[in-house]
This record gives sequence, structure tokens and C-alpha cells, in this order.
Amino acid sequence: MTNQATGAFDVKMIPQTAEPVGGATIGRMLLDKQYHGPLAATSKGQMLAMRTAVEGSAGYVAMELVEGKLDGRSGSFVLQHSGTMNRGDALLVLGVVPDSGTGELTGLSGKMDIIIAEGKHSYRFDYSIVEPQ
Amino acid sequence: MNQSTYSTDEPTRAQIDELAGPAIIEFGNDWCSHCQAAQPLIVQALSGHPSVRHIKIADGPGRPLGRSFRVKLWPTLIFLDAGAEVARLVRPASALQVAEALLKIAPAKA
Repeated sequence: MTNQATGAFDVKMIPQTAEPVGGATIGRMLLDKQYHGPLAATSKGQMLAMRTAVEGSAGYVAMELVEGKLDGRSGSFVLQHSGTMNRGDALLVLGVVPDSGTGELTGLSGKMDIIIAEGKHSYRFDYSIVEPQ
Repeated sequence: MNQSTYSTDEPTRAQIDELAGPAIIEFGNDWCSHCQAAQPLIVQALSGHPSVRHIKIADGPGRPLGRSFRVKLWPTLIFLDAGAEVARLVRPASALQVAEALLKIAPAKA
């Protein structure tokens, strides 16, 4: 059965030393997030990002470890991000790394959407938990 | 736009005032050592903000756009939201400084 959790979150992005790769600069950031609502959790992660000389074309990847409660179940899991912006058209693939769930979140799978409106972040998390056999 | 060099072809102040969305106007010069030192910090901080326009303007005495923003030192970064100045950094010392100013005009995308 698929469940849906929606709520707000706060994110801090802390730039780290840039690593030149050939002629490009790939930005590296620490992520520090606080999820509110049915996903009541904190998260720490890392992000690699690069924007091109073409306006609105960029990409990023990130991994974050989320620890807390999801609809009352305690545990942790890892989210994997792959975001691209193609001349302003954004595509984000964001989901749970298979078998990364621990504690009462063991067996968790799911996909998340990030919504940014009026400067505020919110999430929509469609998930399911396969109970251990 | 994530320009690599400062443009000598500057827009008018009226064009800047009419910009939609978040943008940074960076005043400096390619030969300016403070500007060269700041580039990795700016690029680093901007990498997480693909929707922010980055316009680099070659400044100098008598150049009207820089004078309209009362720019005195290079690089000077003006953070704009819909054409209005929200924050300003002169000779930023860290990517974190740039990132914190960026958050005033655009939310983090992650």
C-alpha cells in the first residue's frame, strides 16, 4: 500500500571548498535539513552541483541521511537526488535508496517531490513499507 | 547567465530595474586580482542556484551602471530580486558569504 506524507521543510546549504575538475568548477555543499509534519526528521547530506554558461542549464546530485519519524515510525533512510535544469525546464528524480531504511523504516521505498512556493519548501513523499517476512 | 568574463557591453539601469526574478550583478574587471580571487567562491555558491541570473559587468570611471549603484570597490555583487537590491557584497571572503546573500533572493534547490 502506498502512503503519502506532505509537509514543510527547511534547508541550509553550506558551501565547501570548490574542487576544480579540468576547466569546470563543481560546487560541493553540505545539506542540513529539518523536515516537519508527518515526516518529523533531521537530515544531513552532501550535494555536487554545476551550472553551465547557458542560462538555466545546470545539474546536481545529492545524498542525504534522514533520521527521525515517518508517520510515527522511527528510523532512518537515505534519499538520492538527481536534478537537471535544461534551459529552465527542471527535472528532479528523488527517491529512497533501496534497503537503506533502518529501525521501523526497514523495507521503506518511495519517491519524493520538492515544491518551492513563495520561498518556502515543502515535500510530498509517496512511500510504502514492506514488512519483513 | 554564468559569464566567465566581465562584459563591456552594459545594460542600462532601467533594463536592470525591469529584470524579472533573482539576479546578481557583479561589477569588476578581468585584470582585477580581487575579482580573480573571488571567482571560485562566487561560482561555488552559484552552482546550487541555477535559476539566478549572473551578469558580470566591466566597471570603470564614468561607466553609468556602476555609478548608478555607487560601486567603489571591485568586485561588488548586487543581489537583486525583481530588479530591487536586496543585498550587496564587496570583495566576498568566502563562498558561504555569497551563499547566505543568495538565500535572500532565491531558495536553495535541494
